[in-house]
Amino acid sequence: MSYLKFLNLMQAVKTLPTFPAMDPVEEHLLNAFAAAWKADKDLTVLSAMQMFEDTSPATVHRRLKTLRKKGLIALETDPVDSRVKHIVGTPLAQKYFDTLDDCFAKASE
Amino acid sequence: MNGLQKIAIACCTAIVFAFVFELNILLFSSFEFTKGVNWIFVPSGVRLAAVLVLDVWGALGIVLGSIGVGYGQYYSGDWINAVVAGLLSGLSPLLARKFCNDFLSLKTNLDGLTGSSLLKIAAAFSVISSVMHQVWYVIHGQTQNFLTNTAVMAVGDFTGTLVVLYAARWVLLRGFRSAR
Repeated sequence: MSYLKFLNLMQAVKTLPTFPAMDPVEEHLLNAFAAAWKADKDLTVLSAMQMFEDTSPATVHRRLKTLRKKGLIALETDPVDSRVKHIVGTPLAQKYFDTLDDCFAKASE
Repeated sequence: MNGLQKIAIACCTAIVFAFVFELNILLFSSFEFTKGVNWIFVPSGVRLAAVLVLDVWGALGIVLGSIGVGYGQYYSGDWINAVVAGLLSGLSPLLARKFCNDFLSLKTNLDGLTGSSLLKIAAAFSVISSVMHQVWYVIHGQTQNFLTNTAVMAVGDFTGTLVVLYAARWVLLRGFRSAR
């Protein structure tokens, strides 16, 4: 019984809320995605893996997973072809860019 | 679990609690607001985990550990004060757990516990424990600033619990990963 409680407590500890911190690669990817979203470009997992010359597709794929885990992007399945996943921004990503926008506006005042 | 195992659990909890208490005095004595009231009180995290996981036997360990450290560090020669403060240290988390069972939907086996509900429970533990301690200090004539000391003690208990919880989180998510 105590061991079960311990496992439940450890599980809760793992889900403690934190501020999602990004590493430079994730930041680089998210900035590029934001530019693509702004230009209304269709962004799929496959196209994202091929859009960076300086980052390997495997690294991009790994960072897509971490960005998704941090709640900054979401994947939507294509209604026609279920193998295609579209990358979309989340409200948290929007908040992130809004905050950066505010900081930029304050800095330029 | 037989009687001997329960006593062993209480003794181990007492040793861990006393060790962390001494460590807190060593590391965070500069954050002390008044005697016995600190802005960071890490043992409260151990207290929370012990009472949530080990129930009454964890609380008994906290009582023993708290009496030991309290008598040595704060109430030398004053057994009554050391024993009452120790009892409050162990009993207040039990009361807080009862409160969380009744009002914060905490299940006895901790099933369905999430990170955010754990933070709410930690806050409830901190407030209830600090209020009970400070009520005793007022009765015993040790403090005149009930509200201020209660607030600082609650903040200290909560920050200490956060230190323990986020250190555990780091170990669980990063420490084990890097060990692999």
